[in-house]
Amino acid sequence: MALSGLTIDYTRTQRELDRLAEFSSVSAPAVGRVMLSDADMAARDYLKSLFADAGLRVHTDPAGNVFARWIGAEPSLPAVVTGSHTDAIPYSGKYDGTVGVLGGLEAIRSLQRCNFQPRRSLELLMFTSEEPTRYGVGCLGSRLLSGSLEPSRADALLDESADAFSELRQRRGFSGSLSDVRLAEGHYHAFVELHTEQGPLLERDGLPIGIVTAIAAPAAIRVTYTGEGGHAGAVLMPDRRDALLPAAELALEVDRAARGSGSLDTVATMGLLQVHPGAVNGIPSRTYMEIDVRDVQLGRRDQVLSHIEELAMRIGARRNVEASVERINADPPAQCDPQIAATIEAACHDAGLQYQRMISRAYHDSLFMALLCPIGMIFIPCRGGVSHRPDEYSSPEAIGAGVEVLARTLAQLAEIAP
Amino acid sequence: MDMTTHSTLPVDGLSSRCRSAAERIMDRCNDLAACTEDPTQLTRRFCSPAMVAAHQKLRHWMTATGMPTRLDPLANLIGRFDRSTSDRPTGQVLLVGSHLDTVVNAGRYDGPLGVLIGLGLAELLRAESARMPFAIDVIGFCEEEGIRYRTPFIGSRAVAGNFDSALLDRVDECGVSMRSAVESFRKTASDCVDTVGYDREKVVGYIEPHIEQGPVLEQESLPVGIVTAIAGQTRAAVRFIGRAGHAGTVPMSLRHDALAGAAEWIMQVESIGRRTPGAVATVAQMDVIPNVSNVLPGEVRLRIDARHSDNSTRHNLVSEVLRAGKSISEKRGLKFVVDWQEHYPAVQMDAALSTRLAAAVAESGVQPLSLVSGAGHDAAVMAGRFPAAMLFLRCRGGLSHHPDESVRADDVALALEVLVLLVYKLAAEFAPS
Repeated sequence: MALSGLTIDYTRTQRELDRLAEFSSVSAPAVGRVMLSDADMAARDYLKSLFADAGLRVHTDPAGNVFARWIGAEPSLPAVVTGSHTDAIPYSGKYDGTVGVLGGLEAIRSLQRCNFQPRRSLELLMFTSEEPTRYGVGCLGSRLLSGSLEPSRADALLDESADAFSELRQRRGFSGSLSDVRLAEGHYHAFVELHTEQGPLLERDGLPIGIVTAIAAPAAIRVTYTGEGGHAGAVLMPDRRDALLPAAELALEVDRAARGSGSLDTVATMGLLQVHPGAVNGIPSRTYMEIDVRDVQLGRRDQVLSHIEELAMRIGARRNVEASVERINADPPAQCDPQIAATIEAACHDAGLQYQRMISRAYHDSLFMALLCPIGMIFIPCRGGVSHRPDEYSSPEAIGAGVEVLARTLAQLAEIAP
Repeated sequence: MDMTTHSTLPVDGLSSRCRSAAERIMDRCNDLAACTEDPTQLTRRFCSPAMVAAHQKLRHWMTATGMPTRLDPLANLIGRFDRSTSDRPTGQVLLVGSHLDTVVNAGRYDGPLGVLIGLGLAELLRAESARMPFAIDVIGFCEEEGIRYRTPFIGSRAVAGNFDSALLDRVDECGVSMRSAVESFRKTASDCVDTVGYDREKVVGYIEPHIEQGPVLEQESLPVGIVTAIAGQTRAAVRFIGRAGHAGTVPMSLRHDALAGAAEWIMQVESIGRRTPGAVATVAQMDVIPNVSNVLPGEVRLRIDARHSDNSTRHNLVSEVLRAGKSISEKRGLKFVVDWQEHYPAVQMDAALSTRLAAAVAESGVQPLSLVSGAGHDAAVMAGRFPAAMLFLRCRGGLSHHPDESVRADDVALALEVLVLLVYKLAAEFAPS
C-alpha cells in the first residue's frame, strides 16, 4: 500500500518509553510495575492521556483492559487491533510489552499524520496484565477477553496478601461483572502484536524484523511424591521409600521425553524441585516438582505431556511412594494467520527492511487473542537476547523499524476508506 | 518382669518405680517438644530460641532434683547428681546423656529421650537415698544433628576435647557465626555456672540411651539392645554447574541442565549404595538454583551421606560416587565440584563397659542383643576420650527424624531399670571388698 510520507517519530516513542519507565516501584534502571499497583495506576493515567491526545476514544472493561479506538469510516466492521502489555515484573526493564503499546500508538499516529483514512476502526489494546507476578496467572487480560479463564475463577484469585482480584479491581475503579469482559468471536478482524524477540536470533543474524509464524504454548504440571522419612544411617536401603529417588528418575525422563519427540521445537524442563525435610541425614519424605513442557504443535506437546504424567505415576508406583500429578495449565499453541504473515512480509518489502520467519518460544497475549481472531506478531531484535532484566534494550531505530512495519501492516488490514 | 527373682539385690519394687518415672519422662518429652522454632512442627536447632526454652525447662527439672546445673563453653547443659560417699570422696563421675537439638520437623525422642532418662536415673537414685562412689553428670549436648552449621557433634566434640575452634567462624544460612550464636545463647543462661572439661582419669564412663532409629529391636521383640559399634560416616557437599536459561527458548540440544546431571548422579548413588552390602548412601539435601518452574536450572547443590561399619568399604564407596559425578558431568557438559568432605571413622564402644551394660540388661530379664548403629551418635565422639557405651531403645517401625517417631513407656521403664542396675554394678566395683 502506498503510504506517502509515512514517518515514524521514534525519538518521541523513546521519550515516552523513558517516561513510562519512571512509573515504577523499584529504582531505575530497574523497572517494576505489578498490575493494579500504585505505579501501574499512575502509568495507566499517563498512557490514557497519550491515547486521548491522539484523538482515540478510550474505554476500559471490568478486568482493567484498556481500549483506545480510532474510529474507521465503517465503524460497524470488525476492527483491526494492535497492542501488548505494560505491567512489568519487579527488577525488569523498560521494553518488554511497552514497545507494543507505545509502538502501537506511534503506528496509529504515523498513519494519522499521513492522512490515512481507515475503513475499519483501528484499536490499540493494552492488556490489564501479561506477567503472572500478582496472581500466578499469566495473560490475565487476554485470557478473560478470549474466554479461556472462567470469570468466577479470575475473581477468586488471591495475591500474596490474600487480596482477591474481585476486590482489588473494584477498588481500582474497574467495576462490573467479569463475565462482560469476554469478546465474541468475530468481534475483531485481526490482531497484530509488536514485541521484542526476547531471544538472540535476530541480533545474531543482523535482521531488523522477525515475522512470527507460531507461538509455542507452555503446559505445566506439578508432581508430588510422598514416601517415608527416616534416619539416613539407620534405615537400610532396601527398606526405604525415599521420595527423592523417583523425582531424580522423573527428571531424567522429562529430559528424555523432550529429546525423543522428534522435533527440535519440543522442550521440557523440570525447573523446580523441592526436597523435604532437606536435612543431610534425613531420608527425603516428600518431593515437589514443577515441569514445563512447550511446543508449537499441540498434538506433539500433549503427547509428551501425557507421557511424562504417565511415567510420573508409574515411577511412583514402582518405588512404592505415593504420587500425585496435577496439571497447572495446558494452553494450546497458536498458529499465526498466514495471510497476516504475508501482509507483514509485504510491509517489510515496502519499508525496505530484511526479515526472517521464526517461532516465538516465549508466550504472549497473542496466544489467547488467537482464540478470537486471526493474529500476527512482529519481533524486533533485543540486545543479547535478554529480557526481564534491567539491562534489556532495543535501540530507538530498531523500535522505529518495528513501528513502521506495524503501521504498514495495520493500514493494509484496515483498508483505505472508499 | 517379676522382680522377686532378684530379691537379693537392693532393688525391691524398682520396676514399679521405674514405670512411674518412665511416665514422667514421656510427659517431659512432650513438654520439650513444645520448645520449637516452628509452631507447626518440631525443629530445635543449635542455640536457637527454642533451645533457650528447652534449657530453661531442663534446668528447672534438674534444680528440682537437687542437681546444680552448669553450662560449658559451647552451651552444653550439665546437671550434677552427687551423693558421693562422704568418707571416700573420689571425684569420679559417670556421664549419662544425649543431645537436645533436633532435625527439621523432628520426632520428640531422638536425643532428648536420652537426656531425660539420665535425669530420671538421678531422680530414682535420689529416692533410693543410696550413697555412690561417684557423681553422675547428666549432659544435654547442644548439637548433634549438624543442621545449623552443617557439621554434627558440636556438643560432644567440645566435651571430648576435640572441638576445632576454627569452626567457631563458620556461619549459618543467615550469616550468623557459631561464635556469636554461642555468645548470645550463653547470655540467656547467666544463672548457670560455667564448667571446665573433664579429667579423663576421673570419668567412669559415658552411657548414652537412645532410640534405635532402625527396625531390628522391633523385629526381635526386644525393648532394648547394646550397641557394639557405630558405623563410619562420610558427608560431602557437591555441585553440578551448568547454564541457566529460559525454559522456552533454549532447545534441548543446547542445554547444560544442572538438574538432569544431578538426577543421574542421585540414581548412581542409589545403585552404588545398594550393591555394597551393609552400606547406606543417601542424597537428602538438594538446592536447585534458581528453582523456578520456567527457568532451566543453572546449578544444583547436593549433600551426600554414606555409612558403613568398615572404614575402607566406606572410602571405596565414596570414591566411586565422586567418580560417577565427574563422569556424568563430563558427558553432559557440566562442571562437577566437591566443596568439602567430612569423614567420621567407625567407632567401637568400650568392651568392658558394654559387657556390664549387657549384664544389667540380662539381669533385668531381657535377652542382651548386640547391634551396630548405622546412625552416628555423641557416644562415637565421646568414645575417643572416655569409655563409652550405648543402650538402644526400640522405636515404632524404626522410624525417626519424623513427627511420628514413637517409643513405648514400658521400654523407657526397662531402660531406666537397666541403668539403675548398671550404676549399682559399677558402684559395687568401687566399694572395698
